[in-house]
Amino acid sequence: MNQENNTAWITSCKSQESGWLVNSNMSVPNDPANRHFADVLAWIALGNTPAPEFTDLEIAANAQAETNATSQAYLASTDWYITRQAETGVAVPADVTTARAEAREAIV
Amino acid sequence: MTKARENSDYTGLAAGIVAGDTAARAGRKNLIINGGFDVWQRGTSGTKAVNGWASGYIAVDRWHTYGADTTQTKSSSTVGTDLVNTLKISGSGTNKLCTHAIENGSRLISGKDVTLSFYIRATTATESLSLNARFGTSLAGDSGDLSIGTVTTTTSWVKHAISFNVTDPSVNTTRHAMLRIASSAEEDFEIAQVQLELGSVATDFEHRSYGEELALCQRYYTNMEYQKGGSVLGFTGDVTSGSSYHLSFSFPTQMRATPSLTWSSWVSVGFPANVTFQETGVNGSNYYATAIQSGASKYFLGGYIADAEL
Repeated sequence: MNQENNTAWITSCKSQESGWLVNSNMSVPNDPANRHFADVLAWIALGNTPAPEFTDLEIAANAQAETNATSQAYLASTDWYITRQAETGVAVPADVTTARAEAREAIV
Repeated sequence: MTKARENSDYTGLAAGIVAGDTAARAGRKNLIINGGFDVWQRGTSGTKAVNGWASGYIAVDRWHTYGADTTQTKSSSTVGTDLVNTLKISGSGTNKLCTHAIENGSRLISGKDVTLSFYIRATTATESLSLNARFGTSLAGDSGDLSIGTVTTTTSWVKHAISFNVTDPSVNTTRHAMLRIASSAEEDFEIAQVQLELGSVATDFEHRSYGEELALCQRYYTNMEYQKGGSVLGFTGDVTSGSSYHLSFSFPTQMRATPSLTWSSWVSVGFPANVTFQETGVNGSNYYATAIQSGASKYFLGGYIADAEL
């Protein structure tokens, strides 16, 4: 029988919270009874190194996305100050004006 | 009012029933799942890319192929008196080895008289096929080949029945039994109605409904790609960019082991094409996607493949 190759199907592998993401679209669990998990272990034993769950760029992008979401939520929650000022002339508190400016600045 | 039947009403009938009839008609006797080749969740044809145990489930459910450039194709034919589905093994490659794994089958057949029956024909020439059993905790097994026998095919359908008794050197309740059919001449062949049963008599092939056979196969592989029958997973709603949206789902049946999961995207607006699976178990999983836009009526729809084959 010819030489077996049980890892050739793995072209990329990155760690995940509870397993591995193989070939960008298959989530492989850390279950010894799962044959794909056995292949991942064999692939690592051959000297391959799985990529981390998030690259530096992805960590930065996730942090920015979280900042964007927080800032947008703050702006939405304080929009009523702006509406009140437009309708009644009551001024927006200075700290709110400052914080809204900071929130707009933080959004990318 | 109708008179209730009494035992004496069946006297003549009972005399006509022989032990063989009873055995032949008893249910749940076939240890092979999809021995009738009715279930093809991966597609009706597939070709193996490389030699080895990996990536060998290429078309028909529960039947693995080993050699590179070997093709499995669904076909149909009149076999005996029945019109049935068949599995055709063809291609230019070597190692035309077909394997069926019986989950935890060691304790079922080790050291017992069992009988394998099947129809087979060679599509281009007469050839010799070797039949082996293996035992172990994975498809490759660790017991080595234990010979069951050899059959010589013709170009016509012939039913073979082979009784054998093989012993797993490490028999226990969690080791699997593998049935292997290998072509020594590397010719194409076609098989139908494969049955493995306890005892030394080959009885009639056990017919199971498609739904029943499909459910048995889904313990090992479940194809819920959106192309196979609509979107089965997804999310629609008002979302905020950067926020993640989580959902859970159950598999149609409990799977053999925690499966590998592959997302099959149909369409997404405001979300990336892929989702992330987490907290997967034998009964179901959780998945989420992180919105890349804010607004109303953003969505992602699709399906999945769950693979827990041996």
